[in-house]
Amino acid sequence: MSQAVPGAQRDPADAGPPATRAQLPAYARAQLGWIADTDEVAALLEAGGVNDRVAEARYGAPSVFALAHDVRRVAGVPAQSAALGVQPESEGARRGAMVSDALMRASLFLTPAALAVGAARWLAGQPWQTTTGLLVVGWSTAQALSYMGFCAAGAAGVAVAARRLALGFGALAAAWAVLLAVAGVDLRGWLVSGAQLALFAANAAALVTGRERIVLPAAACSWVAAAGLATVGGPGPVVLLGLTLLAMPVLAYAPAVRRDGRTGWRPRRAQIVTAAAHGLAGAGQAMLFILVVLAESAHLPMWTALPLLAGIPLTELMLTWHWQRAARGRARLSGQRPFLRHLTRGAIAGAAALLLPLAAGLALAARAHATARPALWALAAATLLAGVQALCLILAAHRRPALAAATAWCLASLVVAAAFLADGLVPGLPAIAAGTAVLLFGYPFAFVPAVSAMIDPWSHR
Amino acid sequence: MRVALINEGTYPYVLGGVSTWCDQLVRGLPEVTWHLVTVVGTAPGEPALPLPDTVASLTPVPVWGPADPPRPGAAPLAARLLRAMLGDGPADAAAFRAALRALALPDAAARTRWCRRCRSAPSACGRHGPPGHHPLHGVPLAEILCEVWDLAGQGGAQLPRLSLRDADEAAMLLEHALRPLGAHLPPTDLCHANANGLSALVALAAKWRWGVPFLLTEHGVYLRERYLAAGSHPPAVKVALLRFHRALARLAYAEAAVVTPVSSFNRRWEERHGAPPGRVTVIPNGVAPERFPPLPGEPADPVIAWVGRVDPLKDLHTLIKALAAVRREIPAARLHLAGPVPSGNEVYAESCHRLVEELGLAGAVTFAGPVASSRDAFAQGQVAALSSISEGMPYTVVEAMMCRRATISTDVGGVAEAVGDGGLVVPPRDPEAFAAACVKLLRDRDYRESVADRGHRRALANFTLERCLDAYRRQYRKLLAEAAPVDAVPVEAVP
Repeated sequence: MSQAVPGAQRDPADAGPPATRAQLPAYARAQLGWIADTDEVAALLEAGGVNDRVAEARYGAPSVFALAHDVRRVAGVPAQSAALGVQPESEGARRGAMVSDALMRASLFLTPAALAVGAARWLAGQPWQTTTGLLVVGWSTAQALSYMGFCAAGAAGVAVAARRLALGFGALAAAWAVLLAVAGVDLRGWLVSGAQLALFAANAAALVTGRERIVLPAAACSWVAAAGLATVGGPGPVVLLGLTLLAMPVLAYAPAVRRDGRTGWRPRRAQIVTAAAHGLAGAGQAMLFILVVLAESAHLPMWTALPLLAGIPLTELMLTWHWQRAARGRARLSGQRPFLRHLTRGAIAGAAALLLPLAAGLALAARAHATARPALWALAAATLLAGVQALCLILAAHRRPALAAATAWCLASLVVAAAFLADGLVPGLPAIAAGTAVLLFGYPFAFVPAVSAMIDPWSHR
Repeated sequence: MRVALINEGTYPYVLGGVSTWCDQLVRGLPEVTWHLVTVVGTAPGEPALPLPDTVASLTPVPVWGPADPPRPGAAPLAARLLRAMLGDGPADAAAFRAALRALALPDAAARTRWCRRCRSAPSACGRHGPPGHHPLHGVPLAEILCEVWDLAGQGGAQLPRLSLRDADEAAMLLEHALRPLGAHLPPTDLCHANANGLSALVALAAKWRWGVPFLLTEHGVYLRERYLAAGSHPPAVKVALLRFHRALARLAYAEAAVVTPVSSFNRRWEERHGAPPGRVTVIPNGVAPERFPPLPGEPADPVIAWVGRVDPLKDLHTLIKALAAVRREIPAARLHLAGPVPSGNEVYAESCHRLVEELGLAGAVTFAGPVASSRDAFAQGQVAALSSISEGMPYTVVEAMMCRRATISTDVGGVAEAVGDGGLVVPPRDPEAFAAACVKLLRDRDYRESVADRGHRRALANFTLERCLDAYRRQYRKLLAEAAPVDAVPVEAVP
């Protein structure tokens, strides 16, 4: 009769208790695994039709409980390894699925960058409302709403979560439409803004509803369209791009129209505060991207941004590896200390990986200083920024979105300050060099809390 | 008389046997002002049944919804509670009670001198008292469980290995299971917990906070059902949950003013787990005779009627095999099965159809589906059958007896004590024995009628709804008359 606490009902009817008393211990072991106590055996026997009279007539025991006591005593306790019940899993298949999931997410995240490159001609001369402004607000909204979406999905299902995300992005679209109308942007500006919003909304919903695999083909088509725009041009790629940008949100938000009977979900105050912190972190990351990469991109070759593009899948892979490793540790280990040691070993590997951007950035900056090549400064800055973005993502993913936001905004503020002060302090120093110096200086301050977050067991509960 | 009727997952949100019983009780005792408290999974929708005017309030207590703020100072109590639940001795039971009771009562340190509610009735203060707080939310329960698990192991307890993931899962389930302890109850004179477990948690809290006595009814045996439902969990999670439910069930049996199982079969479990025999009173379910008057005649064909939900526990396979054996003696014999296939039982229903085909009984078995009244189904047969392998105190047998139909039942749960000499009882899972009893009744009309008469008289004498309602009315009055502070601890007046 109880329905509040879920639990699968054992089906006792198919193979009832065996006919002889000697067979009962093996039967109980097979049905129950680790036998909790005598009463668990008694419940099993009774559910199989054995009452006191049957216990006496068929098994020669004075009662079900006496019979159960005897059965438990003979059945004994299984070996610990068998009792742990961990299902062996194909290591190769698991690793393959992990890598493909991470790369799929990374591909979705990279789609806006791919489109920005392909449609660079369209973006030229556009006002801030349609480019950088919407980048900051869209990135921030996507981070905040994704967090809210995950909370809603956990409490009320993906249909409710998708509807909440649609509501949030709908509100942003309406507000931004007013801003664009007031600014009087042209048709191209409206299209660029719509495309950005569609991408942010589709990626956030795909992640929350777990439809990355379904949205990815449409995203891949948009990559093809972007390549067409950049090379051959003409109406074909434009139409294809438009269609894919329509298809992505439609596919991602399909669960929103699903009727699963659940409608109501209200975020709690703590969830709203956490979502705001995620939003602030996203806005800070977008500001850093604009200040360090976009501000100088007009004068520099495209390949200088490659570390950032490579950093997204690498960060996804590292985070996925780390989470999987922690989860395996929790499934395998039975004490806090061994788990802490397990986390520390993983965090050391993670720290080594996270030091690579710092080391590479330092080497590139030294080379740029020696050769005075702005492209090398940009490459160093992009390398360091890829590392900083990874650190911010790790902090946010380990329940420290406020720290991630503080890191991103402090560094963004310092980059702005350095750009103003650099020329006064060191005449002739390019702004990108000042930005690189800020990232070099700030990197350790983000690195230490990120690594400590990876070690903290609280992050993995 | 104000009574809080506490259910878990049933009345008035879900239809079924327990909800029918509750509806009969609530409508049958109009002198009572009812406060319905129902432990539910998440926030429920509208009640599935219309509620009479005597229902003053309906309080759902969700265990899986968003968490309320934590109770201050819960971590040390959680450690004591978990440590005690793993043990099996009287000292462990006392420690479990003390820790649970402390969690149910307001934390002295959290009381505020400036809070008027805290000064007058701290247990009812929604801001600083237990209501509106989930006792163990926010407590690092998984870590605590790991520690006490190690300690218990070192103390000689035989426990499976607890991985951290097991601890996470067990902690999450235990935290949710304990949430009803923070439920806010309307002012009431007594509580009627309609099951052990989570319903009893609400009643225990009311007793400890305000000295409200409680009566505990069990239709099935809650603890036994937990044993049967826990198999899907990893061993350590299963053991943690079962230890908690065992300790809680024992505590509720010990603290209840009266325990009222619906059959003596349940009583065995209750007394085994500490219910004082003097406080256990069996009150069988009742059936309204006017709804099940004797059937005027019987069909000409030798038909066996069965009513119930198509479920593995009803063991229809034995019944179908028994029909095949009956047809060897009485070739014209047929089986009429009436009842729904609940969601999740489709595979079992298919297996029944398959068995019918395999045994060549296609024209002899009717799957009639749901019926408005079991009486209509009994009218289709010369005899009524119940082949279950597990039952508490089944309504269908009593209803068949009330309709004056001879019954053949399996000897499970409270069936034999319900049937007495008013029907034939055979061992479960024994098609041949079941068939022999059917043949005996189907072949001999006089014998069939005499059995049906005895059953009818027995049902009228022991299992009328009025008799059942009177028994609860007496228990309520007795408890109210005896009501006195049940504890030496400061018990507050009902706010």
